[in-house]
Amino acid sequence: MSAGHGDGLQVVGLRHAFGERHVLDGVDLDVPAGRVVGLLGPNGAGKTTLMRIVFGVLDVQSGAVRWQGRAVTDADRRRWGYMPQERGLYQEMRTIDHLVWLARLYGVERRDAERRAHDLLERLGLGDRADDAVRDLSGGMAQRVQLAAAMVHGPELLVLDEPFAGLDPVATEFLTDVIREHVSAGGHLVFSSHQLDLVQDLCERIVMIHHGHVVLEGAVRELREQAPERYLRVDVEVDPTWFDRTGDPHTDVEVVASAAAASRIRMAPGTDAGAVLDVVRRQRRVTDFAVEAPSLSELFIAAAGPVTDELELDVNDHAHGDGAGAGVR
Amino acid sequence: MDRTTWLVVEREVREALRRKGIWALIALVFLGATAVVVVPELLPDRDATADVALVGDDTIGVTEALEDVADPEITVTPVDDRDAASVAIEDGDADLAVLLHDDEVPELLVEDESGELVTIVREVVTNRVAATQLANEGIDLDDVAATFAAASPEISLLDAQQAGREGGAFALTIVLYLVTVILTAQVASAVAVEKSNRVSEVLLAIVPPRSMLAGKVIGIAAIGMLTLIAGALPVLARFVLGGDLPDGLGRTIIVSAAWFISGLVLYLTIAGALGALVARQEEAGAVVTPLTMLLVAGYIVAISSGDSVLGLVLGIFPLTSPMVAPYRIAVGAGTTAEYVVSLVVLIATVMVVGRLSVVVFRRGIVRTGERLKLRDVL
Repeated sequence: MSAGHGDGLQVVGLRHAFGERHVLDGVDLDVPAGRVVGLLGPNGAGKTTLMRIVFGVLDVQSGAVRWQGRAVTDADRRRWGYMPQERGLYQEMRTIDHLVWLARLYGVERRDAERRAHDLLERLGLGDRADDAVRDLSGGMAQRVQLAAAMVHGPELLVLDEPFAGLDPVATEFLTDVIREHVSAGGHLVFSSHQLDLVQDLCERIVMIHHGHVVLEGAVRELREQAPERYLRVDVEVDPTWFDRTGDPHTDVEVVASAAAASRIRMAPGTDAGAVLDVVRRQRRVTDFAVEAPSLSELFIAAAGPVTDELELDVNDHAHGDGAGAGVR
Repeated sequence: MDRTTWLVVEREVREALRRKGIWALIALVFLGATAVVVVPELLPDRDATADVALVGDDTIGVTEALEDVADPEITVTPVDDRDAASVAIEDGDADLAVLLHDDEVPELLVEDESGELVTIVREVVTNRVAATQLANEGIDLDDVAATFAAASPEISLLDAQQAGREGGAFALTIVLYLVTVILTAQVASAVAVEKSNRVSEVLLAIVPPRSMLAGKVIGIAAIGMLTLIAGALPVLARFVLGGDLPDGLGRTIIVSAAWFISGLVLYLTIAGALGALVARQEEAGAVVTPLTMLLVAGYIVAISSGDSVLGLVLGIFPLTSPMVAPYRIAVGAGTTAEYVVSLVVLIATVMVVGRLSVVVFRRGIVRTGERLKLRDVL
């Protein structure tokens, strides 16, 4: 495994099937301290099943879940926090009561639980809504309470299943800060997402799975830099037929996105980027361009082959500037 | 109970008591039961007193004899003549009138000759007329009275308390039935809600499914018992203060508690497991229908033929014994050995079904999206 520290969470050779349907087929995952780890893949890849097994919601059929180098126990799991993909809170409960109750279930004493819950609500900007019932909170607030529910006991490991799904940009930035703070303080964290490019700047390490198999894993920066192909981004709409007429062997390209505001052109290894740019410049005036490494979704497709629309590949985001502007910092 | 289960119970009870609806229900049940107990005491007893109008000279001691009658307590009012007596009856001042005629047989003036009061008054007047005639013939009335008393058959009740116990058993069975049916539906619904709103997903990561199910069952049962106690208190107070609790019914209730509690745990545990099979809360009612049918069957057998051979069988079968066995105990239809077997079978079933229910609950509650069948999770 790439982390290889033997500390933190280790998932080894996990296999799981629902009847005849194999959901996980030998998946490994390492979550060392101080690193943001992304478990990425399209919907139905097996991410949620893996997280449920990690938390003991589902039994291990084959493989192992280890914590700090040994088999995980229920006591270990009480020091972890889990935010499931399907958010779940008692709607009629007061927010503060809900958090205190969950903290006590995690084993925190009542007074300590009350203090932690109030502190966390203040930190999440919900201090004045502590006495409100969960159902009276807005969707964004309830989302923050759900996050608080996973953190109220000060967990060593945070496991967040699709935490960015449905979040607006402000909430996305807020959650990003929380994730970074957790790992900066030496915590362990893994989150899943099918929005690969939204989270590519947040993840330090990734494990990409598809149909229950790991198709790509490693440090995000290295994976992107080591990928052989590059992409040319230009701020004009590109017609793919422009390249048919060149006959230049150094312009082996594919236009992967084309729009009035920007286009993105994949260049095979060894392609002369200047020559490609020249082809575009002969047709249109280019005021902005860049040669970029592939995005996570492009890496995914390169590794797994074209997939269904369950994977969010918002290539226009890349065309607008590497996806970072619309994604997570 | 471990700490986790206790926390689940605590939440169930605290959140239930936070709702105004539950307090309204408890108050309603308490006031209703109080009204049932108190109102009959306040209402005048129609049969306890009677007014009789008397016309003519009472030379044969009818007035005294009527006023000696203990039940009903008769007040005799002299009136002038037959017309005055009629008016008194029509006005409701008198229930009937006795008309004493010189040298003739007395006459009773009544609106309806079939009443109990008519029978009593006729008997008293007949006795007085006969006694007077016998005295006139020189016969000692004391001898006559002694002779009549010696000739009167003694009345012996086969079981003085039988009727009271059957009534008590009937009421007990209704209460057990209603409480179990209502709480069964509540548990299934509560589990279905947790499954459909995905709270269960958060909890299963922290709380063992055994504790989740047990906490739900105990918490909802506790609220149900609180409501039951609110209804039972006025009734118990009435019987204890009044002292007319049918003989043996108190003991029956205490013994029946073993079946009631075990049966409640059995039914609610199964309901919790079945609630984990549904996809939406609206399906919770349908999924416990077979349970409700069993309860109805147990209830009908208990009140219709609880003391028959079928009652014996269903008094031992664990899914119906919580209804049938208490009835059989109340009316004294079975033997101690039968009751012991019934209870042992019931408790063993609770333990086996409890473990099975945890498996069903755990496998069902994480499989969302479609309604599951039992074979899907076993």
